[in-house]
Amino acid sequence: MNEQLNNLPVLTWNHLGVNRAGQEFALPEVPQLESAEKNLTMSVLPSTVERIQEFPIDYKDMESGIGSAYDNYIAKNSNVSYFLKVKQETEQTIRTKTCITPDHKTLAGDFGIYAEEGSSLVWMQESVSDEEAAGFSTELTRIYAKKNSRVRLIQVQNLNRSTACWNGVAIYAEDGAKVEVVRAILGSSHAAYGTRAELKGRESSYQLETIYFTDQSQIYDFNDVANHYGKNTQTDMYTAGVLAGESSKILRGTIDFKKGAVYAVGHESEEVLMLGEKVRNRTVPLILCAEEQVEGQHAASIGRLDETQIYYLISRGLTPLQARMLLIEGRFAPVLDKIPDEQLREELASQIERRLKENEPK
Amino acid sequence: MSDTLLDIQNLGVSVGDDHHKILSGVDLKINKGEIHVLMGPNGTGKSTLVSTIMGDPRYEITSGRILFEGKDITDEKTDVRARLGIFLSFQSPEEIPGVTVENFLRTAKGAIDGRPPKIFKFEKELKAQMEALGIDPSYAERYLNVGFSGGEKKKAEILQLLMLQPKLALLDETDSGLDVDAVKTVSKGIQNYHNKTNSVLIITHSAKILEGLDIDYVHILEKGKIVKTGGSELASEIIERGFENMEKRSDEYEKL
Amino acid sequence: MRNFDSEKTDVKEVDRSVYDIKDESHPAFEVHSGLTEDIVSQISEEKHDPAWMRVFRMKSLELYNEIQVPDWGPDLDDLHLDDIKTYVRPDTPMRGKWSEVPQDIKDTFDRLGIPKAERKSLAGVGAQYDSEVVYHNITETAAAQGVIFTDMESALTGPHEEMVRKHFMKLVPPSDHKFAALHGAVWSGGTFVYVPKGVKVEIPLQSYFRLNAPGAGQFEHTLIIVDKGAYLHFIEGCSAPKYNVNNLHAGCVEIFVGENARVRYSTIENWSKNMYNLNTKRARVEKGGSIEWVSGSFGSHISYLYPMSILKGEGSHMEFTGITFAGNGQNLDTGAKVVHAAPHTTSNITTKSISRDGGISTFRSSVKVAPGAAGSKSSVSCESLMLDDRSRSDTIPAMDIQCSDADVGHEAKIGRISEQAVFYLMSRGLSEEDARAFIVGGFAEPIAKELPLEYAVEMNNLITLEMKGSIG
Repeated sequence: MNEQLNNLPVLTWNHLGVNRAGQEFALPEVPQLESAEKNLTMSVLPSTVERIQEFPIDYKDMESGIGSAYDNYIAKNSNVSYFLKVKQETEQTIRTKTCITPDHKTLAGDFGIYAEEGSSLVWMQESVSDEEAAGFSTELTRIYAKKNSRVRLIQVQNLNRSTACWNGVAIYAEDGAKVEVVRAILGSSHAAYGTRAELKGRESSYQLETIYFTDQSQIYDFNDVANHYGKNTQTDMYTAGVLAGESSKILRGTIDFKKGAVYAVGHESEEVLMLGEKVRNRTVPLILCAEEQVEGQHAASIGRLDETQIYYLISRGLTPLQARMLLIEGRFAPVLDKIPDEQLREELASQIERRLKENEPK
Repeated sequence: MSDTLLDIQNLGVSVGDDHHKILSGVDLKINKGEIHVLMGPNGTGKSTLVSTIMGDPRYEITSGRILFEGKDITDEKTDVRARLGIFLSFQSPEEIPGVTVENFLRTAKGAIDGRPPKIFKFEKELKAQMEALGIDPSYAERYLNVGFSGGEKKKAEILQLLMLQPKLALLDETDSGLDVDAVKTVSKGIQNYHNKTNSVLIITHSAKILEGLDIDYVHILEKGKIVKTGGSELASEIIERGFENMEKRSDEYEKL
Repeated sequence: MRNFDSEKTDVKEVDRSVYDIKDESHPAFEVHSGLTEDIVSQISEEKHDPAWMRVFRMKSLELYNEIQVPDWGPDLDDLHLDDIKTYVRPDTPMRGKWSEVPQDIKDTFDRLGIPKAERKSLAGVGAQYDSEVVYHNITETAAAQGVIFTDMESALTGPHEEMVRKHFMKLVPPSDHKFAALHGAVWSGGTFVYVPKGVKVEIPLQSYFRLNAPGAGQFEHTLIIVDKGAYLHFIEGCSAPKYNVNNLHAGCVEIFVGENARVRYSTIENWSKNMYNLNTKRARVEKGGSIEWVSGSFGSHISYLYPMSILKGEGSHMEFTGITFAGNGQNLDTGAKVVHAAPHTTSNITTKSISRDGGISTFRSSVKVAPGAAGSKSSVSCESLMLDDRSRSDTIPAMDIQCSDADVGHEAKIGRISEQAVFYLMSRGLSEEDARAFIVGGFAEPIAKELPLEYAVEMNNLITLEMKGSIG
């Protein structure tokens, strides 16, 4: 199949290879239409949240960052689905976990949150796999946030190195809605992530924070888009990552101020640490603008850590390695701090530490 | 001919989409040659008052009017007010990249005088004023306020005051961020500027800048109104004892 | 409440009358529209090309027919290439002295201020008028230093043939893209410059184009070779009168910067608003060398313009400072490209762009760091100013980094003129219109100060006129 995935909203020079995701991301066949629900673990729902059978908004009215071709693929092929309607403010974090197992190697998940006016929800999705399973995980999460609702979606991906992953998110925000997506991406052989937020309502806001770590021959491909339609809308995108081994990554981050998005504000920032001789980083931070009264900024810092910061820490007694660890942990903190499970947080932190030590320049 | 330079009558001012009221019923008269001081707790509207006199479009006049030399300027544009002779030294002066201090001053002077200044005379004057204010001559070539420290920005405002020679100078916390010597210098600059025909309205929290100045009136602005007016001794009293006492006394005053 | 927004300055079309003087076209030799083998053959013959150049043109034509128009960037549908006459030569053979150039051609340059500039201590002027170099001059000092500054045709057949052949379209091969192939097939006119080892050319060399005949394209080729340790500043500026028929500019500039040499290339592009400006500029820099681009884009209907630098030698450096001002009916897609192909190379890209009255301004960049370019540093800063909500400003930067021992930084900002800044300037007596013009002038200042004075003045005037929307 040669669908176009993770398309850059405005094309640029083809030789850069960033206009869309590469061939390695061709979508897999989903072998059986049998439900994979047993591979989905979910927490007990509180009274303010209800599981519904169908998501009230059609796929074509909410496009993910990976693209409509991908959304249609999920619509046709999903073998597990999980839709939540949130009616009020919810204290408890909802947790789900999908697992790739030897007997169910291809998982196509269709997920969604429909947040009623003034409601709130935190949902953490974990994506894991059995050691022996070599599979495919494709997921789509749609978030429809009605007036003044607040939704935080946390995604932690820790799949094994023989499994490939696709994860699309589509967001629609009404007046005053606040949507946050927090991603910690560490596993899989290769992974395509695409989020798209439509900030239609005035004063709606979107925050996207991502950390990732690639080594060996992992390939990550991101396409994150924020479309500002409403007045006083706000986007903050923050990405911090480490590339090691022979891995590579493409990050496309687009902030699009449509005409009428008066007083909108968009900030994008990326920090990439590159380790080793063979890594490849591609970054394409777009700002598209048709409205005068906006504020848009993006900043990218790629390469090495700040020598003056390292020196400062060393002057306080840390070893160079400790100093580097501290700085990198600092970059990852905004995401790790938001993971509501201390044990999981510790696991992720130690995985990162271990991989850093393995890949530290000699 | 009247001696009144600035006459503010029953001024009400609000700000923002929700029309939040900041000033209500402010009356203030400044005659030629006078120095007035405006004090009050933070957030009561002192900056709002001087910004409104200057015509800041962020503020909406809900009642009253502003007269300058007898002319109603309540609806006039900012640059018209500037050309009539009103000057505001900003609390946070704007950075204007790409425009040098000298170029800017020459243009402003030309705008206010109605014709470009004679180059030689202008440059001589600029050099002299910069020296008197202790501003490094290289600053003339620097972009206006870009990268200037807080204190340097304030000094640059006073430099503009001295070069433009307005009829009314509104100084919004010109002393904040300045070290002791700089405050003295700025105070001297104000003294040099002030004469029998022009007037000054100073917003400040400290006594240092007022030393050496002949203060005529001190006003306390609180909760959007001028609650008390006194002579220069009022300033020392506030500085020593704070506003709390003032509030009590002003309430008493109003009861009378 | 008084509101600045309700009284926005409505800027009208800038007065271009001084640039729009048309002479009646008397071409001595005109090629029929469209591009066929016969036409390319004709051009080659008329120019008395050496055999290798004729072959080169034919190969380029083949490539031109194979390669597609780019699928990215502004729409080129209205550019009907078959209608573009590729070659027009005015009546006059080349002249050595200004006084011998025909009057109407002289008048055109007079109106555009060229002789004055020439008198004012420039080393020499090559002026291009409808595909042939009309007038050429080089002062004695530059010539005595061994500097070669001549038209491309002479260079092709004269004593420098070998040097030209070695370098011609090696940096921008015809296979690069469709308009490079077109250029390779029909190029005509242009400048050849060679600066010998260690020679510092004190005064900038300047070349000026003009496009006059309706429908004619400009395919001039500029080849600059600066040898080890030498220094050159080259200025390119151009203008064209307005016509109904589409005008195309597919020129090519190739700059070879030798070891420890330094080249500065300044351009103010002010083509009239029906021009398609698809120019390709590229520099290759050897060890320790540096290239500085200064670029102001004001004219054209559609522009594709991305000067590219290949930092081939260790420690080489690239500096790019540019401004783009897109007004009504304009879609200007400009930026810069750099490839760090050696260790300890550095690059700095600083651009500003302004859009108003429905104009579209796009900043497009590509920073590539090859594996092995250890210790390299690159920083890109682009700032965009929107003057109303009828226009567009897009920023499309891309970075491709394959070396972990490199530092790449990028920042972009977009916004509008700060109302507080306008208030501040008005509080000092400037009218609202003047305050805005001041701020935009200040915005453009980092570029203006890189240009020689008369260009900076021309640029500031252009900006002021655009901002004030009033007749000069």
